[in-house]
Amino acid sequence: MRGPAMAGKATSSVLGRGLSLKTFGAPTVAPPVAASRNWPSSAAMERETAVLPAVRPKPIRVSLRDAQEKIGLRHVAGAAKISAARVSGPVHSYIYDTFVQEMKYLKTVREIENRLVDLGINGRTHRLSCFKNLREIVSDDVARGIKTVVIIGNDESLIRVMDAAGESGVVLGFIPMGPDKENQLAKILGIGAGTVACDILSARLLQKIDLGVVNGHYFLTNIDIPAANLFVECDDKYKLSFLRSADIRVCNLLGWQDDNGKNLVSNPSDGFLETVVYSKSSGFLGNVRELFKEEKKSARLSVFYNRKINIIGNAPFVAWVDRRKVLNKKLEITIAPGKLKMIIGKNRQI
Amino acid sequence: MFKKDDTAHNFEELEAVAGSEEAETIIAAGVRVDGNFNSRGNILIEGIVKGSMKTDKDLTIGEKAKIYASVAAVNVYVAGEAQGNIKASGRLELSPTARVFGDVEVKTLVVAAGAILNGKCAMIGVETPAVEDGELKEKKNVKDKE
Repeated sequence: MRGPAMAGKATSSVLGRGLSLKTFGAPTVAPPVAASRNWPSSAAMERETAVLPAVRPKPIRVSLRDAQEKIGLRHVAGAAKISAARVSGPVHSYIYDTFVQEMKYLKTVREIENRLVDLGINGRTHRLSCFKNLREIVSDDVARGIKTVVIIGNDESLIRVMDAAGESGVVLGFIPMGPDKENQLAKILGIGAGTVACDILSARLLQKIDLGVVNGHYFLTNIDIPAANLFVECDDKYKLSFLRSADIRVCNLLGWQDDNGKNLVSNPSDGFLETVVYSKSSGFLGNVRELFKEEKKSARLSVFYNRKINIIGNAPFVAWVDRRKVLNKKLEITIAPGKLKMIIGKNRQI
Repeated sequence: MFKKDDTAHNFEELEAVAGSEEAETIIAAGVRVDGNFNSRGNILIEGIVKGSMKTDKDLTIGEKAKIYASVAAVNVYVAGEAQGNIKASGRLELSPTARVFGDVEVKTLVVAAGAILNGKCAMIGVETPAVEDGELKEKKNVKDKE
């Protein structure tokens, strides 16, 4: 075995005669044990270790929200009682969409970051780019013990992250950015823009939201299918056929305001998908009737509540799944009840 | 003037129509349903249904609707054509334009003038008398003749 003394000899032989370690002042080379008189021997160190009391790491105090999340409760009084729960790292992760990194959003982003620090819910941050995979980011965060992933962006950003969050079971938060018309989902979920969203994150009102599944892929909002010659089978129990051409929409989470100020928001927590069929008026006569309102508008709208829908076409047909175009000959649509855990606001429409 | 493009239609118009908060299954005109249709909420039919239909709440058969199915609901309102048995644990109401061809089992029956009802009618919750006087007399007469 090569001891420290031997190591010293070898070093001096390399340096040559007349040269010592002091001349070069090499700090990285450990001095020989014999040369360092002040160092305690190994036996003395063992004695001291035995005498000294064991130093235990101080428990990290966590907030009420984190503790509730830890033990799976939403309403528990007294954060101090639960503060014994130990958390090794940050429990929040923030993912900034690419457009949020533009200069015009810089001020808002700063305000949001400051507010998050004030509320004590700051955590890891990721800035999306074309080289980063959102699914990998989320799975990496989950592996690090992060419980809440917050996406900062618009509806499109939320739809993108939903897929990964649904699979991992992580709680999903949302901070909307950008124009209102690109943040319709935020309105439905009752999440305000900017620092208001930070307060909503802090309040942490959780709701389980259903996700639709189409051909094995999740969707959050709806599927639009323009008029085509289709065969629709619902819940393996009954079939729909259309005497007129009809548009089909399968809704999970949907809502907006029309000219009359009335809203239709399908319930995303009821375990059902809403199948809306819009039968178009037949030809010129139908248009005239429609013009003079002889034909009731409500009579053209069909609504069904289903858990499973199969839509089959004779040829590949176009469908818009979460605003993304899909071309397929068959769509197998089911629902995954309560798959997504989301932080929502008090003023939600669902 | 009349060149209203249906293809340009978007669903915003639908939301104006279906703005009600009540969850209701609607089968509109131009839609045909084949099979066993079960629902928990109210059903409004303006189209065509073949098979069977069951709901825990109310069923409304519109004026232009055609039902070729056995129906079970709490309250049933018929304004169109229904071919099949109807079972209503509450109230069955036939409007002047109603045409029912089938047996009816109801608790309360309301028939408007002009409505057509072809079939047997049974009232739920009404006990039939065990032996009627008329039947007893008839039986006695038969025995005397023998």
